[in-house]
Parts: sequence; C-alpha cells; structure tokens
Amino acid sequence: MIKKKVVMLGAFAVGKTSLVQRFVHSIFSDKYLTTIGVKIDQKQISLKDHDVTLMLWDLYGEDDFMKVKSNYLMGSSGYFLVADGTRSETIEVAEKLHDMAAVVTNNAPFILLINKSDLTDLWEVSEERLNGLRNKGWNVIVTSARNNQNVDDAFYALTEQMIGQQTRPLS
Amino acid sequence: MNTRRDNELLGGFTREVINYILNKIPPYLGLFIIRTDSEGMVKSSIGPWEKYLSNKPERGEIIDDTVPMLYGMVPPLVNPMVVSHLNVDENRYADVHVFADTQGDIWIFFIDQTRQVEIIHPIVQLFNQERLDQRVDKKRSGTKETLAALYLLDFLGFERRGENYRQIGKAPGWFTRLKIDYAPKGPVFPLKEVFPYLEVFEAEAERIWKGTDDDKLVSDIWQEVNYDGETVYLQALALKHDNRSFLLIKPLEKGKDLNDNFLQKAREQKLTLDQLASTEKKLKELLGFKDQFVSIISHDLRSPIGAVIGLIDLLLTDQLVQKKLETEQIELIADIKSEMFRLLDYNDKLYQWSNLELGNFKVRAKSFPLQNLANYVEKMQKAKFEQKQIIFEAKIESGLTINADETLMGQALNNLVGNSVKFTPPGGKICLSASRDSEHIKISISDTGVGMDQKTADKLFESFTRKSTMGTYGERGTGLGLGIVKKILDAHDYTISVKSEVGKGSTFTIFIPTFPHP
Repeated sequence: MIKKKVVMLGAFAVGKTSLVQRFVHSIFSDKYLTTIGVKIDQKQISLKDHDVTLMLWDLYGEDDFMKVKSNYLMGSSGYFLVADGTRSETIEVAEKLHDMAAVVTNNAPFILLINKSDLTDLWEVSEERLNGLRNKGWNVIVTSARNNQNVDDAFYALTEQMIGQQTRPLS
Repeated sequence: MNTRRDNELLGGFTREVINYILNKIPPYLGLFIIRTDSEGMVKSSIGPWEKYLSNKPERGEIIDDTVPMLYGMVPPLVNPMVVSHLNVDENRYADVHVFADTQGDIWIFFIDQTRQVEIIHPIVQLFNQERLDQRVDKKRSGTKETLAALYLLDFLGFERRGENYRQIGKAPGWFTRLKIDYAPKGPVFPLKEVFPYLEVFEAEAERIWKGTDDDKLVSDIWQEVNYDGETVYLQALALKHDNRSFLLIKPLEKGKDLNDNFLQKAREQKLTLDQLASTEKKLKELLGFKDQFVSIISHDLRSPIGAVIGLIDLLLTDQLVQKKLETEQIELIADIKSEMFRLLDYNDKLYQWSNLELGNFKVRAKSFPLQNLANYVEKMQKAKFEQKQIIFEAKIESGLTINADETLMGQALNNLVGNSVKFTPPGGKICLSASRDSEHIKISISDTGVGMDQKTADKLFESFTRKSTMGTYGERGTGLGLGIVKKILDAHDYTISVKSEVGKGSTFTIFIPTFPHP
C-alpha cells in the first residue's frame, strides 16, 4: 500500500473542506464554516494496479488573519491549490502559496482547482486567465464540490502524477 | 476606494492592528478585544467578554472604571505592553496585550491562557515541592504518580525519551472514544501514526526539547472525529522542565475554549465586502458601457444637427425663399433654428459629460494668464449679454497666472458664467474677478440674479440634477452644466463654494491652492 500526503492550500472560503468532504464522504453542505486548525482525512483508491492511501491535509484558509505555515507541507507528495472562480483574487493567493509550496516540497506535483463552477452568474475568472496559467505548465481543473463536477477526476489526476513521479526512473 | 478599504478593513480593524493580531497573538481562540481612545474611553469591543469580565465594556465608559484589572495599563507605559498569565478570575488566566496604534487608539487584547496554566502549574509545583523536600531520588519521587493522574484533568500525557513517546498514566475518556486505528502494543506509543498532525508539531517542538532551559510551546489546533461522529478539536503542549521533555494533549471544549467565533465573523464580513466590491466593479463596467454609448451617440449626432442648422440658415438667408414665405413662417423657421441650437448645446454637454465620466480626458496643465479665461468667456457669452442687456465686468489682478488645463478651465468658467446669465434678470450685472492671497488664487463669479436658498445651494454640484430650473428669460438648461464644472475642478484638485441670497444674487468662488498638494 502506497501512502501519499496531499495538502489542500488556498484562500479562505474557496471550498477546500467541501472538496475533501465530497471526495471522501460524498457529502456537501452549503453552509460556510471556517476551518479551525487542520483536519486530516484518509481515502483509499486504486489506480493503475496501485492501492494508494491518500492522507488529505485540509488546512485553514489563508487570509489577513491567518497565514499558512510552510511546515504543514513537510513530507507531502503533492498539493492542491484551490481558488474560488467567483473571487478572482483567490487565484493570486493560490499563486503566492504555490511559490512557498514549490520550495518546501521540492517541486512536488500540484493541480490548481477553480472551484464553485456551479455559480455561473457570479463567475469572474476568464478563460484567458486560465489559459495563461495553463501556458505556464499548470494543470488547471474547474470543479464544483456542490455538483460533484470533476472532483474525483482531480484527486485521481493528482494521484496519477504523484505515482508517476515516484515510479519515474532517475535521470 | 482601495485606500479606504486597506485602512478600514473588517469593521474598523486597520492594517496595523491586523498585523499585530497576526504576528503577536495567535491563536485566536478566546480572543477578546477592546478599543479605546488615547484617554482610555471605550470605543468598541468584540469577542467573548464574559470569559474575562463580569460586565461588557460599553461605549463611552472609562476603561479603568469598567475593567479595574487594567488600572494604570492604558495608555501603555511601553508599547506594546504584555502581561502574562493574569488571573482574571478564580478559574481563568489570560495574557493581556495593550497596544497603542499610530492613529491614537489603544487596543486591548485578552487571550485565554487557562489551559496552558492548568497544564504547567501542577508540573512546576510538583517539581518545586520535590526540591523543597530535598527528595532528589527521582525513582522514589512522587513525580510519576502525580503526572499519572493528569488523565483525571483530561490530559493525554507523554514523556519524550530519545525519539520515542511513553504514555504517562491512563488515557482519558475522550481519547478512547476517538475514531482512530490504534491498539496498544508496548511501552512506546506510535504518536505520529495515531495523530499524523503531530509530525508537524514535533518538528517545531524539537527547538524547545533540545534546549537546556525550561520552556513551552503550544500547537495549532487539529481535528479528529469520535465514534459519535462529533468533531473533536485538539491542541498539544510541548514542555521542557528540569531537563525532561513532555507532550500533553487535551481537547478544546465547545462553549468554553471554542466559544469564539471571531474568525468566522471576520471572514463572513470579508466575503460580504468582496461581494460588494465585485458588484461595484460590475456596476462600474455597466455605467462605463452607458457612458461610452452616450459619448458615441452624442458625437455622431453633432454632424446631422449642424447640417440641419446650416439648411435652416440657407432658408433664412435665401432671397427667393424669403419672398415665397409669410412672416409667420419665417418666425417659425427662426424658432426651429433656436431650438436646434439648444439641442446642439445639450448634445455638446452630453458629450462632455460622458467623456468626463469615462475619464477620456487628460489634464494638460500649463501656465497661462487668467485674463485669457476672462476674454474667452466674454466672447462666448457676448450674444447672451447683449440679448439680456447684462453688464459683464472682468476684474483680474494684473499678471495673475495659473497652471491648469486652459481648455477645461475655459469650459468650467463658461458654464458658471452661462449659469449666472441664465438666472440674472435683464439689466443685471455679472462680475468675474480673480485675486491671490497667501494660500489660494480665488476666481469668483458673482451676479445680481435671483439667488437660491441653502437647500438648493447644497445640492448644486451633485453629478446630475433631474430638475433643471428655467432661467429669467425662459432659458432652459440641461441639468449637466454645474456637474461638468465640478468634475473639471475635481480633476485639478480645486474646490468651489457658493454663497447666495434669494432675490439678491449668487457668488461662486473657485479656490486654487497656491502650492499644489503633494
């Protein structure tokens, strides 16, 4: 059994907890409840003949009052950057967190999730902006924890990248 | 907008205070804040006051009277002033920070430290007692037995030896109810397998465990779930005492330790502000589209209006046409021309207005004599002066120059003088004067017109007035003229005031700072 630590990073209220709850427990709640501290969930998945236990570290969101400690990324095999498609400034927070995470994890695989795609009327993030990020080599997935859109796909995609990195021969 | 939001984030918390909270007082559990003025008069408070005080400090109260324990601490003797482990009542301890910001306000932060004191005191007391009794044989000392009783206080305790953790005494009830995969297999407790979060805290705690001095470190909070499906919030304390290393874990109690929804409220407020900012942005975009639309239409309408006026001129000057028309018909055509001129004026103002709204202009400042503006205005209004037999007088101090956009200022003064013409009865007088004192160059337009009451004067420079008052000669206006004046003056950082008396006339004065703002 392979064990992989995955950290959820992002601004506050972008849906980190909702994405984990949707993936692990198949539940979703509309009520916003700020995450206090750290919540660690586990989920076992099978992927390409590998049984993988994902240790999902759901961290409190970053804002003016709370800064995410880089220590939380110690030993992580990958991370999600989560942003809210209805608040474009949360992408900037994700970019800033990525700068820190890339150093601490020694460039571990990551995926940027633009969450809340169900809120089409309030959507702020343009396709041009997403393409700009993709052109930097980022894997960007638009998700909805509420509608369960692309949530499982995102977790499987990151797991595949982490396994790929593990099995990749050293050059 | 951004400056205001930066300085007044989240209901009056300035960036400076947020930085203080962020850097000096984590974690936020039990955080209670009082804000006073520099004299210690309460302005506001937020958070669970009942944890520390018997009465909530109310606005206007003096902090020394309301919270006697703070006597002599406000204003702080040193900034910030921190008092640790203050015994606020029989069962509660707090750290109190008193911080004076640069705006002259004083912020008092209460942070609940009861748990830390509860943990440390029994251990420290025990060791002190041991020394007093000169019981140096630790194998026979009461240490182990006393620490073993920590579970009765709900602590799950460990002593760290090398890289391993040995459990002290029994496990408290909350631990046995946690939904975790754990079965005791020997003296060494697999701490990081049971609580993966502690791999992070362990790395932080190494600093004090490897030190030689007594010290403590409190962890962040992490969550577990028990068999009832309830979330359990846990916090750990690393302790170094008398060269021994301990790790103690205890759940936070809802209602006691977790009754602070400060962060939740702050974030909900921030979300609301973000949503408002987003809506404001979208509204501005829509208004921009509207102004752009008006700008394009009013620009394109100028040519056909001009063409119609040209054709009317042809009709009025062509001898053949004149002979064929009755006098009444010629008067009607003259009326049409007059209305077309009014339409052109209205259209021009709309064009100027929409472009000012869109910001489609740049202030091209240069130094020029104020007399130029007086000459320009006189030329533009000459026909109207003659029509209403108004005496126009320009009194410009000799050699007075300003550094401004001559075209825009000409437009502004022309609108102001035009407004005076409109409300001055035939035979009246309008005076344009300019003088300089130590602080300002003042340009005044005074008239002997109908004047206005204070209520009207107060609303005069609102962007757009739906109601346009008819002039003394039956002139009709656009309702945009004075709004345009205000926008032009704002763009120059100039101010304007109006003094008026009903039946006697009005004076508009533009103030131009002699030294521009930095």
